[in-house]
Amino acid sequence: MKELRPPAVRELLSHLERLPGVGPRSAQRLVEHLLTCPPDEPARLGEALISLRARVRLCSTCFLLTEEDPCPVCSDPGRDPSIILVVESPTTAWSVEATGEYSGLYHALLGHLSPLHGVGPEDLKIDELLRRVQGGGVREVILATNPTVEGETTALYIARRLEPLGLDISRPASGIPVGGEVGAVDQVTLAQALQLRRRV
Amino acid sequence: MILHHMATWNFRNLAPGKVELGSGLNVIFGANGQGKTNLLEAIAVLGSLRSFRSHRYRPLLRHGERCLRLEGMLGSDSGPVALEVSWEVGPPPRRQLRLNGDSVHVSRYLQVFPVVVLAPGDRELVVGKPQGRRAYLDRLAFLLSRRHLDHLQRYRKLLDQRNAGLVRGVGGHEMAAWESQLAESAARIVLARRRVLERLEPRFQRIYHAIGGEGFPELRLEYQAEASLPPGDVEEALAEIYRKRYNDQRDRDRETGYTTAGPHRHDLMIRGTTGHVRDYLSAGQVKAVAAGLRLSFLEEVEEDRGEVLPLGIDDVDAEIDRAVTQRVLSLAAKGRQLVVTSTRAELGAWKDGSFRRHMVRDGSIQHVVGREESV
Ligand SMILES: [Zn+2]
Repeated sequence: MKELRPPAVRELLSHLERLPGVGPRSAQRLVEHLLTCPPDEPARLGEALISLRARVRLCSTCFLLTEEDPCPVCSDPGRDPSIILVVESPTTAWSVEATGEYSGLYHALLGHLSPLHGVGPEDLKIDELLRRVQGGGVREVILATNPTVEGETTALYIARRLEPLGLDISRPASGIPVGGEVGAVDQVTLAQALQLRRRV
Repeated sequence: MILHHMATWNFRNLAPGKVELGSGLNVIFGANGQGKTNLLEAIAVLGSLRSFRSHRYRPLLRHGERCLRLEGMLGSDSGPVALEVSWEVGPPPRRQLRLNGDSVHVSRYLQVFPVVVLAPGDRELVVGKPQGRRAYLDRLAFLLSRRHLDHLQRYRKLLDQRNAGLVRGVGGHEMAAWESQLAESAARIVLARRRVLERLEPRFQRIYHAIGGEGFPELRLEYQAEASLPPGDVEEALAEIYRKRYNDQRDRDRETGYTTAGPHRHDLMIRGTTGHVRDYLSAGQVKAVAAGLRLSFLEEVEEDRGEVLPLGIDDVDAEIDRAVTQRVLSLAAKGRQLVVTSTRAELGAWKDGSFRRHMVRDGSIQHVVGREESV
């Protein structure tokens, strides 16, 4: 048996196959496409990949992905600074924003509690959230962690840490399937879940 | 509910292909070691995704093969359903479940064909470890309410997280959050199991007494939780008790890295007047208790579904206490489809509906046409 794949192809395949959701078959299809499409397309893809890490960072206040710090949400005087919506991942905030129903601020935890994986409160942006709230002007915190065992426990833990501060703490209403992700439901359901949030 | 046919590929030593089953009694007969139990086992795996002989799939695979497949056609009051299970050895091992050709989730699949089999291994249900009896209660709770499986999986995850937290020395505030969730989950499972057992108990008593003869002791089925756990059916009250208990036991649990309280440690006690029955029942009495547990389970699901369900009996003419077996058989009939294995072609006095015989020899199954075809 002869190795028919040129070294450059093998190299790219090995990188693509490491990406989530990409198996050997789809990696081959991507390579085939990149070799047959107009030549400027892979060039622009390469530039986009390089500038992604160079330009994008986390907002130092809310930990959403941004190119300017503070991010466009944190620096927008039109947003309601008295409400903070807490999500596990910055991409969940994109889905919430897409509903057009939310005008407060965000806070991304960058994960959830999981002793099994050695992730504790100090590995998440929980202290940062507490400091934001203690800074004053916050009236409500919406804990929109995912409805998984870990997401719910993280919400419970944060709710207890926030409790002494005497503000409204709520969870989005059900409608998001148990075990699913907040960002994975359609916009109407998500908007309803936010409107019908329950106090905890 | 009737299983019209059962087809297997690469399942143990069975020759690939389809076996038609009758709506009444089906006798699978053959000498020992020819594979007569394998067909019944395939039926059990088709319905419950578990064998009554092995906890793993690997031994079910024909020697030297890499994947096996089972197919069955079920007729029920809610219409015909084609079931299909395929399993590949991997790695990683892969199991695919289909209903009428559509790939489905396991919790949906397991609701469709709640098969029950009486097998010699059932004595473990009576005298063996608590794990088997918990699984028995949980399967019944799940068949009566599909959400029970989600609740069990949730409990398992939370338990793993608390145990990991114990080992890693996770701080008190975080542990309290995990324990709060775990306690709610524990309370829900305890209540579901207690409710199921409460329904089961009178049925079990009736069947056990009908099977048992002179000198069979009085028995009670009891849910055995922590000694101090009060009765009652208020979930939040029970959750609060577990919350306190997990909190109180945390330091001791840290030493072992193991959660010592909760439904993963409970048992279905089969209690006689003088303690656990495993210590003094005869072989025939154990068999009667096991059959009582299986048949009351079956009746409970039947009542819930509003139709009779198929029943399998492995090794129906076993030497142990033939009188018990005869009474089990007469109780079992009642218009149900029966699939039984036997070393003999004749089952004595069978007068109840249609009768179909299959001879098994070296893994091939042959329909035997005879005068008993229809009585
Ligand atoms: Zn920001």
